[in-house]
Amino acid sequence: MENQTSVNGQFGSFQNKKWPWIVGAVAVVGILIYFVIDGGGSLVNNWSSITEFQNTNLNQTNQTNSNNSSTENKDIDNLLNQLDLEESRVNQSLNDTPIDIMTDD
Amino acid sequence: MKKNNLIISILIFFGIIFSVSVFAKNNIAEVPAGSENTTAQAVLMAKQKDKAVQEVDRRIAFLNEAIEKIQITKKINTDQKNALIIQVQNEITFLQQLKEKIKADTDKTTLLEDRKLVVQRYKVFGLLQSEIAIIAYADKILNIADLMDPQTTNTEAKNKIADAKSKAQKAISDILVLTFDGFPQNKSVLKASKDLLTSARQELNEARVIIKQGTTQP
Repeated sequence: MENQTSVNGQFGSFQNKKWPWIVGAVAVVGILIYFVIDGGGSLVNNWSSITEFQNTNLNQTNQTNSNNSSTENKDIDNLLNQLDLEESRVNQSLNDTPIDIMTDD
Repeated sequence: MKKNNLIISILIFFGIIFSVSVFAKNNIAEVPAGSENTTAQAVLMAKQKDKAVQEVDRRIAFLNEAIEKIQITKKINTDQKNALIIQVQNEITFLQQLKEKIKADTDKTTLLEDRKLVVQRYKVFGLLQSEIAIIAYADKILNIADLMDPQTTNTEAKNKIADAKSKAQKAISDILVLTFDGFPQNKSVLKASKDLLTSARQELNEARVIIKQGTTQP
């Protein structure tokens, strides 16, 4: 009798464990229906948005790097050209002559 | 008798006129002569002062700008920078005091001594202005070399940049040991340093061409 109860108990417990499966199946079906109705779903759209954002960001970074590199090159050219002025200043200092302040005597 | 009195009167009259005219002539000749000399000397001293002050002001103006140039220099160490700034500031102070003294001079001899001092002191200014111009030039070359170096892996370009750097550094170290008393004899060292910088600049220009050729090639 005790064994019978135990078997029934175990059987009853097993039956009770079916409901999570049912809930799971309903959820899966629900999700599938959601995707069908949404035409691909906002999740896909969001994914596209994320990818698009990443690509844009990557392009912007590349563009910025390219611009920086271009600016840097222009800066170097400008700096090299400015050396003309520095050289002329050195020449000027080497050829400097003081005002003749003794000729009035 | 009357005739004699008339002659004597006429002689006395002419004598008085002659004396007055001679006295007047002497007075006219003496007073303005002294005054003219004094005026001429004052004018000459004013002119001498103006010229001396003009030269002193020219030096002070350059040295004031020089302090700013030294402060923005990146490629000399702090001790070298401070030593140079102190030398420049001392010279500015000296020149300002000399300028005030010249302006206040009333004696011709003292003014002459002060004017001679301005001339003698040119050695300090002459060396400082060339040193500062060379350091500023070398500093720019070294900064540009630092910017260009990471831009290339080309060995030839890198070698040229390295050569430019060592030449600029040598130019700085060669001139920083020069002394004021050695000027203008040490001008040859200043000129040699300038030639080093001209060569360093040429190396950078050549390296730049190599780098550009490298980046335009497919």
